[in-house]
Amino acid sequence: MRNTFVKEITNIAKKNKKIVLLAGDIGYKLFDNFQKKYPHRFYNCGVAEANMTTVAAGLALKGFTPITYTIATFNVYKTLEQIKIDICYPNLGVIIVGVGAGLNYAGLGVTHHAVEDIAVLRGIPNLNIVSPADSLELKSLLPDVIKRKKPTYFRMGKKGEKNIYKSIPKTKVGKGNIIYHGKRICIISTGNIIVNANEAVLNLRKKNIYPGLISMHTIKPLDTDLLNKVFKKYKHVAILEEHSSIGGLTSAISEHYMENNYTNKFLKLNTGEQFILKSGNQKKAHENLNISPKSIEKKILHFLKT
Amino acid sequence: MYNKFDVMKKEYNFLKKISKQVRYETIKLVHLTKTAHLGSSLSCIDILVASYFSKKGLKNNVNNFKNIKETFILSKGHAAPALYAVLQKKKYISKKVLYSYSKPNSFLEEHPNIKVNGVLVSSGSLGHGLSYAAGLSLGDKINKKKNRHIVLMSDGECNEGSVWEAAMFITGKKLKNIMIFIDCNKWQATEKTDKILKIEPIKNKWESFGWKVYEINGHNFKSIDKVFNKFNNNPMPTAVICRTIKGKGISFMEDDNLWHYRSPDQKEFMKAKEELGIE
Repeated sequence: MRNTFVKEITNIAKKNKKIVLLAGDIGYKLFDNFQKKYPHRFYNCGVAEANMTTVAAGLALKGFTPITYTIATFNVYKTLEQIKIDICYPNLGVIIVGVGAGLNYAGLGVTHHAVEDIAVLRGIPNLNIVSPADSLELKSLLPDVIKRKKPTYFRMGKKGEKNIYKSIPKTKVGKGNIIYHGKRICIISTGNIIVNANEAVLNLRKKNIYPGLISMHTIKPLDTDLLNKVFKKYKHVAILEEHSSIGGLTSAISEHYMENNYTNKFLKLNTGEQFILKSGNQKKAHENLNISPKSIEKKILHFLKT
Repeated sequence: MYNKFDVMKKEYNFLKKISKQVRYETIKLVHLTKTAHLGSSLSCIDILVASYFSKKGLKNNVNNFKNIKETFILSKGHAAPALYAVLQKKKYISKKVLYSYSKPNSFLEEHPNIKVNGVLVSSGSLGHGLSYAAGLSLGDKINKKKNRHIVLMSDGECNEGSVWEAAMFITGKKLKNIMIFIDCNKWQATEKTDKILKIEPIKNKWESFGWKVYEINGHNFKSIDKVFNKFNNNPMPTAVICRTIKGKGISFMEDDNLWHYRSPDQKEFMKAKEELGIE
């Protein structure tokens, strides 16, 4: 996903001369091409994320479209006040990219697990939160994110993720994307963990169960129109996210649900509320946390009996 | 016939006069609203007045949102009443707006925000202003422009790690059109600055970060004028260590940290007014 991001942003920056890329000493050789093409629009800001974030705000005041890029944990937790006061309060069009969000860096330890990032950021006014499912959805969303000139947290995977789409989907920020229409149950997910849901769906079909699947790539603002349709059409709703049980997509959806009179049943699939140790890698972490394709399939089968 | 000395003397007398008026307005604002941070406001008023009123200081129309050129950031946002009094004197805000300070329905809060004319960035949390100036200056560098960016910070503010991130970034990226005034009034909220974290020798610290550093009396207009002069030609960013007195100008407030939070009652206000020679 990160390679696609850099390729896309390099393309977009050709026409859009206002794009300035700020990196927190991350992505070895990743930005070489961008730097070669636009030497005055790339700056390695060092391992000093708080400063990088406010520098971006200063550039935005000057009319630029700055993008800050580093590992999700660092670009959210070390910079929270800068994001709130310097970017969101004056409503500046800065894009904060969190690479390796969720458990993409599972093996690197808790310091690199960004499973509270959405929870931490969601309450900040003016901020959009966008989390593409795969490289193709990223390609579709990134130009829209740039065009909007709003403070945006862009939550990404790292590299080598499976694609869920076969071609670039036509989707926009703030509009969830229906991957499959289904019957009885719908799975709503965000970010690259959606591939686990996809695998589960394909296996469930063999058992004559046809879940709907939605990529809710924009967590804020939430596509409540689509949610209303889902609540009306499906009795059972499963929400899958590579995020803590507190404050993420599930919380966002439940906040909307509370305001309306629906009678749906819910299954919550997330990383719980814990520090995740001894996982080794992302796949194993998913197994341990019961959010692997197999676990999702099993849980849905059980859920449909309720 | 005027010579250069007479002209300068006339300007410094003018600045002194403005400074007294700003002190009076600031004390009055804090007295009327029972708000805090009077001592921290009084220590930096001469720096503010010199920046805004000296001929070598900021041009008019600073912090113009529509076309940002020269900027001034009050990074020690808690000195807001002093800034507001200066902005009123410079006609960025009216007297009526000034006296809405800290009242319901007023944008003039106890820390500056961007809804106030003449304020470019909201401050109040320490350690943000210098990074903002770095971003503005980097933008100028990309656009091949040379605008001056002035930041007023406090010595206590240098506790914040982000200040030193910005200090290294600015010299690392060779941004030179930034000048910071550090209002070293020796106190922060609860104790002597140098006793809480080891701030001294602050001059050496900034020098070792690659800045051109001057150490001056922060209440002396001639000295502040001089650094403005030098800043324009410095090949590196400029840091001005301003030795100041917290509560400066009022005998019973000077160097007494009680006035970090305390606001003057009627009797104290009248005494301060008398000391300033305001009719």
